[in-house]
Amino acid sequence: MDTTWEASEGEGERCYESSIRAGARLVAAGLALVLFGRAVASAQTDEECLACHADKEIVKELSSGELVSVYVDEEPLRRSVHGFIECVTCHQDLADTELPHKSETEAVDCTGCHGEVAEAYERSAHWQGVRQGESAAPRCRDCHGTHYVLAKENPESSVYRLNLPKTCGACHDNPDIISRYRLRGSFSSYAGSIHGKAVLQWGLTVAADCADCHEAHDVKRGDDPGSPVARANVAATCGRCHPGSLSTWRRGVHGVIASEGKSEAAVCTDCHGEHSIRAPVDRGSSVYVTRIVDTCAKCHANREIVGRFGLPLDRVSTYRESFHGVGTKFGSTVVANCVSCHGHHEIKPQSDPSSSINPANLKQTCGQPRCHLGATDLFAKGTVHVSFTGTDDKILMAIRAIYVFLVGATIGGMIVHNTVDYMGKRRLRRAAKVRQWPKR
Amino acid sequence: MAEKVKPHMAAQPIEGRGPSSAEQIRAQVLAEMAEDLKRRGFGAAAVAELMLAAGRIPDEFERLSVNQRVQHLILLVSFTVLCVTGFALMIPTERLPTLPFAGDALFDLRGLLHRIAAAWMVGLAFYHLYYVTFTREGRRDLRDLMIRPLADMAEARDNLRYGLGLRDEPPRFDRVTYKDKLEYWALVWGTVVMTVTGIVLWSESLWSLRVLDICRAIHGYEAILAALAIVAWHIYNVHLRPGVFPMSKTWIDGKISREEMIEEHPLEYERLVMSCRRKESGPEE
Repeated sequence: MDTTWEASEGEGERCYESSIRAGARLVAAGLALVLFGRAVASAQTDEECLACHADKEIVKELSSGELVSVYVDEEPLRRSVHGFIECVTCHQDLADTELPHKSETEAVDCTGCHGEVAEAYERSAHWQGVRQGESAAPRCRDCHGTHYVLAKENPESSVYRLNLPKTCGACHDNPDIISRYRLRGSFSSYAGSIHGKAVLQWGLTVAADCADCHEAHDVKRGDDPGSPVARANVAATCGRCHPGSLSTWRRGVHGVIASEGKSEAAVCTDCHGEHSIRAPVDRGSSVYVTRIVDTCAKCHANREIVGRFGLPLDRVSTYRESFHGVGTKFGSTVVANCVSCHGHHEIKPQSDPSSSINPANLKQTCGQPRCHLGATDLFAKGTVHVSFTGTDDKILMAIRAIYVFLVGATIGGMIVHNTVDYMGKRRLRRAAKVRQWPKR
Repeated sequence: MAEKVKPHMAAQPIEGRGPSSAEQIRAQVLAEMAEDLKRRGFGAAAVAELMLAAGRIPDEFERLSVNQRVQHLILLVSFTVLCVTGFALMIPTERLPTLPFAGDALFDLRGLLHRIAAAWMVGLAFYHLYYVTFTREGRRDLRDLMIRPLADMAEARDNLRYGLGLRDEPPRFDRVTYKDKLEYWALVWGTVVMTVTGIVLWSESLWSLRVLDICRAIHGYEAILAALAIVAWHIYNVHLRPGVFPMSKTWIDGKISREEMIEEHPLEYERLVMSCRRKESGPEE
């Protein structure tokens, strides 16, 4: 029945499937079958097609000389979403031909039934690739299969929520494809993420699969402004599943400046990562307690970004010098890191009265039960981000100067003294002709 | 000068020589008692006392009493632990993940050990205050350790001049030299500074960040000063100095040999020997 799949390789055959309105499609296809299928396609019945194509030995020869099987297994075909339509509904060019038909057949065009999906697909980077003749660019059948297409709700479907990452990964884990198209993510990076583990290992359908962030048919490159994962859109995209985090982030300073269109504003992926995103409690997470400082430092120790917003450049370096910073360096999960004081999604500037680092709230922030419980007003007074080395604080500078002198003078003096003392000892012992005191 | 003096070897059986006088018998008995004490493992102090009472110069003198050695041991251990756990904060970042128990365990253990050692050291300091106030031995130590600026500086000057070859004789040191005084008072100073700043840092919730910053700076710098001073001064005096290299065992057995006594503390040696009764069979010095 089907000899066109292999022959149509590279011809831009269009076969689309709607994952959004599968039910409606079924009805439409059923109607088409009733109205046109039986009436129009009088020439070939499925029995006639299968008379040949049910033969497991049946092959056809490609132009390259390669022999490929054109066997069709009827049982799974009937179980597929297209099980109730006739062969010639898709293979329209064979509807009225003489049998056996010619081996060059036309590409199956899915758009006839799946028009809406086709429109979405035509906006995708995949379709762009197909048009540009990229042989790796996927078309309908690459994701959905050919004769045995199953509904996306069917756990056996290649595009079922829990199977989709592997289907995408067939190409998106291929180093050649990743480097050729300069792709940032890969199946492997996703597989190790919290989303990937939830989907692939734990079988949770609530966790994000590829299509949840990238769209199923309208897949665009991340640097395309229309992509749901583009910088300007990614927060809203994550917020579809994480609405609580989205709303707190929007209230925080990052969300506020992002809404002003400033692209420097940290969006979800800047802190949490993209495909390799992990749970915050995961040691490998970029927001894990001991690693969050490095993550904040990407921007807050960046002279250019910090300068653009008139923020002090030494916030990270002074933190690292602090006892908290040293503790974090040791891998302590108890000492304060950036978010302990500043919050995470809802970070607010000090001037904001509701900010956790507003002077009025510092006592409470420092006095969190797991930190300095019982912190007094006095404790919260003073400068927090203090530099001990590059300080401009007069007292700290004086202490430093005094001790630099003390250490230099004392230790230097001791070394000089002991050198001379050593010479004296040598002299004395030479005079007494003693090399070593008798062992006790 | 003292090579041929072997008092305990010189101790003769009483009947072998025959008593020449009661004094001589007494000396001989005392010397034999000292020998006996030594054989039975008694401390250098008791042996030396008997020897000197017998008019003989002992091989070994007591430099550190058991009490002093225990104090030294507590100080040694607590100071070392404090240094290791304190300077651990300065370990460069890259090394840390390779250390065992990296993470909370390492950091918490570090802090806990630091505080335990600090408590021992402060406890020792308070005991030491009691020791120098209420014990005879401690009062004597404190008296000897008192700074006499002119005399101490003269002693230091003479020692350096001798080392440089500007003087023919080394200064005649007593039991406590200017080196000991410098080390002792540096330790007192360091302990006071580290204890005060350390207690402030330990009770951080009670203080302002300003005070904590100042204390943290002082605690860190003073630690560097103290540790380097120990290396430059104490390590030289008890490990590297000719005569004790590779290590003086005085901190373990409390003893100092006659030879070292003559070389390092001639005045004390002389006083001890002069105080003993001189007999015809006694030492020539």
